Amino acid sequence: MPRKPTPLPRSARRIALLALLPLALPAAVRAGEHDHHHHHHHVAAPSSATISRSETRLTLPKVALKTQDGKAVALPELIDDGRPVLLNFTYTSCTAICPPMTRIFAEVQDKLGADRARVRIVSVSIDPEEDTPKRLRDYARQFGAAEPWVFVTGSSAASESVQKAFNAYRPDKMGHTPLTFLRRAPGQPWVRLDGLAQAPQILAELRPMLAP
Amino acid sequence: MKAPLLALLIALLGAAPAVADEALIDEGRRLYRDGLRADGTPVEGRRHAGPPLRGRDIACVQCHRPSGLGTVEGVAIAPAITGRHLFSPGQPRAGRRPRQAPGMTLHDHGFRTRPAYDLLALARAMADGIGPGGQALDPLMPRYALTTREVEALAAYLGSLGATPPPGITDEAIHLATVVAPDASPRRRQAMLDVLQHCVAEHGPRPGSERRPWRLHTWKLHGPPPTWPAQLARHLREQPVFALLSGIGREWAPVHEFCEAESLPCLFPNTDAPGPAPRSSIYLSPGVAVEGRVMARYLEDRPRPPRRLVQVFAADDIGRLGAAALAAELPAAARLDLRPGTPPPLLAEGDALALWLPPDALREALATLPPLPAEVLVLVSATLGELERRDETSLGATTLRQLRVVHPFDAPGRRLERMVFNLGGWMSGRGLKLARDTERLQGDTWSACAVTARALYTLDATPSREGLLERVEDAYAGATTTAYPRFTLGPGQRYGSKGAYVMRISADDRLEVEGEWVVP
Ligand code: HEC
Repeated sequence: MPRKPTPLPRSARRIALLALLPLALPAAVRAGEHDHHHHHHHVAAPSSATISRSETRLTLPKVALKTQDGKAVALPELIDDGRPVLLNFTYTSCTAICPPMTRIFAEVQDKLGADRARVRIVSVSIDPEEDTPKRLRDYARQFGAAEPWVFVTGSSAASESVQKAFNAYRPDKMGHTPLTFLRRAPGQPWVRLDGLAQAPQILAELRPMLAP
Repeated sequence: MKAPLLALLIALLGAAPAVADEALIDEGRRLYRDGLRADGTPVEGRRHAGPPLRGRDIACVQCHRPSGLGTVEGVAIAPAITGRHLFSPGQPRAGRRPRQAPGMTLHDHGFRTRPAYDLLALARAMADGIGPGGQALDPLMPRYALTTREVEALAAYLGSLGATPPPGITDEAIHLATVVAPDASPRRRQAMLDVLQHCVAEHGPRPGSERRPWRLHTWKLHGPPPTWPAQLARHLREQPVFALLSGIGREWAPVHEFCEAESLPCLFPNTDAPGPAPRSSIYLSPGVAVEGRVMARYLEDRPRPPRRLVQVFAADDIGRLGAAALAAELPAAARLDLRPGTPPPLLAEGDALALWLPPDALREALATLPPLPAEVLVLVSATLGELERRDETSLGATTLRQLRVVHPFDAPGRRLERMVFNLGGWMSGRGLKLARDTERLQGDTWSACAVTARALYTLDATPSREGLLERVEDAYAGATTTAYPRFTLGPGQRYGSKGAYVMRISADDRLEVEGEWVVP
């Protein structure tokens, strides 16, 4: 078994394939073949690639949460510690979008290098019933998350009120969309990125917040 | 590379020995489910210009799910990619034209309008994220570095997903069964069957609709639990079924093991003794095991955890499972197990007492307890004591201040209110009665049926058992009449309720909730 990826089959074989395969496809449509003749906007189906940025002010609810180490924390105190904050909502059994979101936060954490201690990173569980501190601890470890990145859970009511404060609440956790929040300091507006914001984009928001 | 490619082609044409095909499918399964190549090294990929990703993190199963039927998270749709879906042209949404507003057209997702995939198209999608219609795939879908053989293996595995119709589904019907064990009382068995039969009949497709009707079979078991597996196997042979729905039994391990061995989805049986580490079963709650774990948590959170655990339970009743769960969580404590009726030894500071006893034995045990130092906690299983079914009086005249009841259900008053509100009308409309001693069972049965019905409706023309489990995981919001304060599922989750209340005796001698719902 070769370990290195081998190139795609060569064209000769390609022809053989097309001739033999019961699954042979009709002639492929050319890339980007779109009807551009009408004076008409074509809106792509929703995709995680589109990021929209907005700014918002919000009031943090005073709720008690628990970190992955089982430590009790109060929400405004955890977030308002003076450092810039990077925040998202996830849950550990989430499939499609949470692992990428968490992976991206891990990438941000690593790229921050020495600056990482100057940023508070918070991931709030939206499935607090399943996400016990222990599950969060395993999850954090799986993604190499470390101080000052904390995962928090709590009662269902507490998690819900945080989600609602950020206008991120969906009654069904599967309706959860990728969101990233950043804030320079307490009292400042939050930057909200809708969509699967990538590490470079998050860092571009975050770095100026670290400037004196 | 030539030989395997040829092998695949021959396999696809149906002429290859089954073994070669199986080996390729197995390689594909490993890539798909574990993100591992044939030699055990992790598969590699990337998303955007992001860092390299590998292994389980980017295993296809994360997004396309074990069934290959995909998932929807918010606006992110990982489409169905079983062979049947992939190797035929995309299906625009039935009956829907592109969504339009004046001057704007919302394009359908690429996977709905693309031509069919073949091996080359699949290779290109995996390597470059370009679909067969030339469209760029959503960047959520990683780009992979795969060998030709690996693409073939994936194609072979995807082709195998859902390729053979699962047992219990015929052109005429979807067959389901409910298991009735002999250790449930006749009154409770009947209460379960009444709700289930009415509910399935009503939720099933109307006659004359395009959908296959649902047929519910009742599998009555006889004799002691060790004889159940053979009986279950015979039932399944005589009438293959797609899934087991609801059901009732005090002991459940034999049914659990049967479901696991057959990969048969077993959905929300009324039992307080679910088997360990379910994959094919989804339970209402972990039952007595969660009581044991909540007791352990409660004891651990005290300033001085106990040095000795004294537990009273019958070796042939389900309380043994709760006792084992508690003991497993407190490995440092010495253990003393007593049969019901044995007088407990003198208890001293450093001891904790747990009672896993049915109502009469519980009353008896509490009435004959020797005097206890105030620090010795007495923990009581609400499930064994049937304290969720009765009034507070079933505890007898005890006024023990150090007594704690672990109660893995909603507080009785709140639960009854919700049940009457959500189920009372439906029941009386069918000539059924919500009774105090069966209300938990009736509500849980109705919810089992409602959630499963939702899930069945979302399965398409070629359902699979894994697909059913995934749809049930998504349909939990239909469980509006369970005995639990919270009931949620998610990918891979196997218990709808996950915790318990701790209750104590109030100043006016009633049971009251102490603190918050505890998820251990
Ligand atoms: C992180 C989530 C994720 C993972 C992991 C993932 N996919 Fe996907 N996949 C997607 C999404 C989202 C799409 C839809 C892309 C689109 O519609 O533009 C997709 C699309 C596809 C398509 C195109 C389907 C079509 O009808 O055009 C194929 C084929 C595919 N994936 C195969 C795989 C295979 C094989 C693996 C594992 C080796 C895999 N995917 C892993 C999310 C994922």
